Amino acid sequence: MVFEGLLFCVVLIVGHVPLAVSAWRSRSRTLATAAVLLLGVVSAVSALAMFRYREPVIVEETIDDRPVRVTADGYVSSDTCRSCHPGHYQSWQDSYHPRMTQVPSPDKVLGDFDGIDREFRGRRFRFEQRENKFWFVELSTASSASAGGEHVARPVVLMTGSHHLQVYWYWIEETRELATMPYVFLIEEKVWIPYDASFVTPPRDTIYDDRGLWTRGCIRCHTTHGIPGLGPTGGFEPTVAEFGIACEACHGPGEAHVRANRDPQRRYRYHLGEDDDMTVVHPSHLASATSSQLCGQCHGVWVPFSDEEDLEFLAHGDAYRPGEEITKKRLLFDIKSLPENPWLQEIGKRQPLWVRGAFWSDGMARVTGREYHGLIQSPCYTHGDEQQGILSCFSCHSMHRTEGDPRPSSEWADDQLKPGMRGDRACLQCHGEYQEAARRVAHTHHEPDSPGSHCYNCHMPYTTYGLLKAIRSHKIDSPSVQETQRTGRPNACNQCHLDKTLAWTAEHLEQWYGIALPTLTEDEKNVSASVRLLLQGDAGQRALMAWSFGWDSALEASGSEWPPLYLVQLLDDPYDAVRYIAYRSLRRFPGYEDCQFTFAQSKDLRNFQAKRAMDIFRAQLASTHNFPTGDAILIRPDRSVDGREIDRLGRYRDNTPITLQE
Amino acid sequence: MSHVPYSRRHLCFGWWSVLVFLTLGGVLEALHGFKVGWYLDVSNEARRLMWTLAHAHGVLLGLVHVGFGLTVRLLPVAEASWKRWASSCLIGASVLLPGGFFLGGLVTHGGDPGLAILLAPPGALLLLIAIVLIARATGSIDESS
Repeated sequence: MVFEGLLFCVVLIVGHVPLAVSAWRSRSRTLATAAVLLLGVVSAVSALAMFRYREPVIVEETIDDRPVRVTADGYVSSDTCRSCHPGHYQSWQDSYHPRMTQVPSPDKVLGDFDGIDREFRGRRFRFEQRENKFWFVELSTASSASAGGEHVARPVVLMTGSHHLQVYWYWIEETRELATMPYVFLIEEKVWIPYDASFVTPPRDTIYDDRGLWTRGCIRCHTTHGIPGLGPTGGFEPTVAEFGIACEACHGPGEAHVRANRDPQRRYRYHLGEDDDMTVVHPSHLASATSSQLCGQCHGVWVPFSDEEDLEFLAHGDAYRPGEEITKKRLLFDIKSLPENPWLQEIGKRQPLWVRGAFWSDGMARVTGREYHGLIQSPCYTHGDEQQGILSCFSCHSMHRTEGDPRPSSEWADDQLKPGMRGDRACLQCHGEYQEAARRVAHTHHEPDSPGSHCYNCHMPYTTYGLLKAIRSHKIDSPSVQETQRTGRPNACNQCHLDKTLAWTAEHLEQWYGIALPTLTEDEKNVSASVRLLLQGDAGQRALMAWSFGWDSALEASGSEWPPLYLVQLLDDPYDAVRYIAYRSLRRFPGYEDCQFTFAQSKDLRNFQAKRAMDIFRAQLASTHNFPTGDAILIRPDRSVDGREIDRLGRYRDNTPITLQE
Repeated sequence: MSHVPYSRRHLCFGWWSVLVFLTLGGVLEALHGFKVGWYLDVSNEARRLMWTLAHAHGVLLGLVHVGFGLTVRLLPVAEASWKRWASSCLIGASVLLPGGFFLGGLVTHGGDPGLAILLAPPGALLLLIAIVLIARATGSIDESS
């Protein structure tokens, strides 16, 4: 700044010299003085502008109310990568990875800091912007001493998320950690919801803020080379190489690469040759297992090998570097390894709810962000070989948008799938025998191009929960009634054919694929499997069903008149997330568009709105020609709802408290 | 040799050069106008820079030729040797410098231009020599003539 200002002044003075000399020699003193004065004024104004309107430079090291960005341990940051890899830099910017964690600024904050008060669970909050800072202000309530006044005002110092929801964090000075603000902002719906309501988590009476979570957990995957910086006194000094998931999270620290490639000869040797520059990791050139571990470092559940290693992480950050064998640095939390691994058992004992909330009982991931587990459990990975190919994350996804991809970058960024990989091509690239439509029909027993004919819908059903919706399982699997009975996980057939029983599915699987018929209970024989799961499942299963009952493909297969009956049942669910998903699905049906919902609803209001929605359903039931009826969906041929049976099934609802650990 | 052939040669070369590289500028503007990804996408940043440099250097070198063509008229008729060298260097620079930038932008490697960019350094050297020769010669201009 000082150097730049000094240069500015020197050039300004030198620029004036010829004019000053001419003016000195001029015969007309008045004209010369006027010219010099005019130029002097203009120059003074530009000098003033130069010094006054400069952007304030924030020196990270001087910040003491949030984690700071430092380049250390060989990390150089994406700013350095940009000049040589502009295309890759841009496609990374187009994705949501760089914005996993951000320092708030008006162009990055998506939440509505409009200064309007919101009340929830007996506490009042106001979100407001004061100049370029964003504040959560807790206001005193009527019952408190200074009613109406400002109680606590906290500035937002960091944000996570930019795709589905944005979470805001404040700084706890005492422990130098972050805590979540009590509300998060749902980006698509443009609404504030309580932080804990954004997860499937048991209902609370109080406002919850997650203290310390970011520094102990989120920092590992929501930043690049995050170091919690646990000190001997128990306080934290968190640092990151970069907020968000940047180039070096996958390519490894770039310092050596940058240094080596200052030599243009070296650069052109690699440009024109076929060898890889070994100073940096090329994920797509790694073996399938190693390249998938790159994604798996964050899209998987890992635990330290011991408590000491956990402390080591908290003090000095993650020991794993891209391209390394990750299993030498961390332990994958695999339920199947539990019986023979006492350390995993110990972790399971310490956090039993966590285990149940992360996996189905057979070890399949039940929440998003654990896709690596699905991948390595899939036969396409375990049975693949170098000749046939081994499934890896890069079989379907690409971290940089493929050149010539006709989709808008926002569409690519949604799942970062390669062109064509949202359809059957993902599977057909290896299973070429099903290229021919007739063979596909013979295999699927579904009409070509119907939802049931698509590989994904049967082999990657929506059995994973996350971000207030159902997400495709990343374990390539086949529908199985036995597995549904064993684990409680919906099978692909019943998740689409919402009106069919488990018996119906078992018969078809036996007829089409020779799978032995299982022993079924009376309810399994007579009541729709999805209706049963919706009424009787745990909160996670109910959330999946709330989403499935609004899924277009399911409604195409099952009819779209009757599902509102069951979505209405969930409008009074104790779990905020389940209610919200049910409400969102319900609003998609004609007649229910005006249903109102807020997370702050009292139980009375919830009952009132559920009753109102039920009235709409009854009116449609009475007036719609050919309204579907059937024992399995508990609607009698005379168009009356079998309320007693619905109540009976509801009484057996699995009320075990559950938190789905996304 | 009189100054006339040099003057004519460089005036002619200069104005045609300006025409060619102004036309290139027009083409580049059209690429902007039609939002051609091959030129405008961030991944083609190196191409955009190279071709912009080719356009700018081509036009400016054309004007240098025009300047040279006019300058030689002001210089003494004798001492033809420096003119011959300056003329050759200037023409060489006008081919190599914008040519190197243009060809370097045809094939790019991320943030690096293609190998044809190696034409630019000798072009720059020739330009430097030419300018030194012309600058030295202008010391002998007789303002009274």
